Amino acid sequence: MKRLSLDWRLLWKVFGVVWLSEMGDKTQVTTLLLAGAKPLYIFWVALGSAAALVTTSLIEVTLGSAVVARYLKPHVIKIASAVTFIVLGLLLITGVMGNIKAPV
Amino acid sequence: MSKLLTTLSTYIIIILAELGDKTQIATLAFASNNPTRRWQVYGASSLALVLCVAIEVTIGAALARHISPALINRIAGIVFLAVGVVSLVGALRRPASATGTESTSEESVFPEPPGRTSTPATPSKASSIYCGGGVEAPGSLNAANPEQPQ
Repeated sequence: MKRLSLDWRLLWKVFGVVWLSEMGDKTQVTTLLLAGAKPLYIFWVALGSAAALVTTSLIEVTLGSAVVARYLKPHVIKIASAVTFIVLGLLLITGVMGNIKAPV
Repeated sequence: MSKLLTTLSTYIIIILAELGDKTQIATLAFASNNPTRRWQVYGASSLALVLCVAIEVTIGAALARHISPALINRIAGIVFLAVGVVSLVGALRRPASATGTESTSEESVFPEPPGRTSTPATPSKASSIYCGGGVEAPGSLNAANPEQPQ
């Protein structure tokens, strides 16, 4: 049985983009506030937050590989996601999106 | 009891805040482009998210005082733009019929354990279920790699 090798470039790309995208996000500020509000329960806030993020990640991966990848051609997906990334990048750079002030 | 309540309320708040977020769009795009490597995408994404949470609850408050989220968002924007431009150029340079890493992934074999594929009664339906994005016939599983015990 053929095995798919680990694609380190893909792993690093996903890791880097997701990490940068999540830092400075509204979710981060929410977790920050919750952890600050309950300093005694920091571990449990972290557990709930991490579990929630892993859950949403699983939802997206399943949706992407089972629905989007099944019904659209790889070429179409590639162009559509490239355009999405460009639009998101422009929105983030111009400050239209994600202009959050840390309440600390 | 209060611990459980804290965990549960955080879980619900974060799920609601996170759905439809840019991180989710990015993960969705990566998984759609690499349906065969969806567990690698999931692993890398989860690891990054858990690392974010770890940073947030420990040095998050101190970090936010020095580096504002707006600045991180600008950097993230530049990275998003770079990823978008690079993959758009790559997609346009290569015609749809040509075989690249993403194109061949449709024909490639999925690394499912043999125990899973043996159970269903209807093989054609089963292969389409487990193959995520694949539309291949069950026979092509062997045809794709004749004798490569890799």
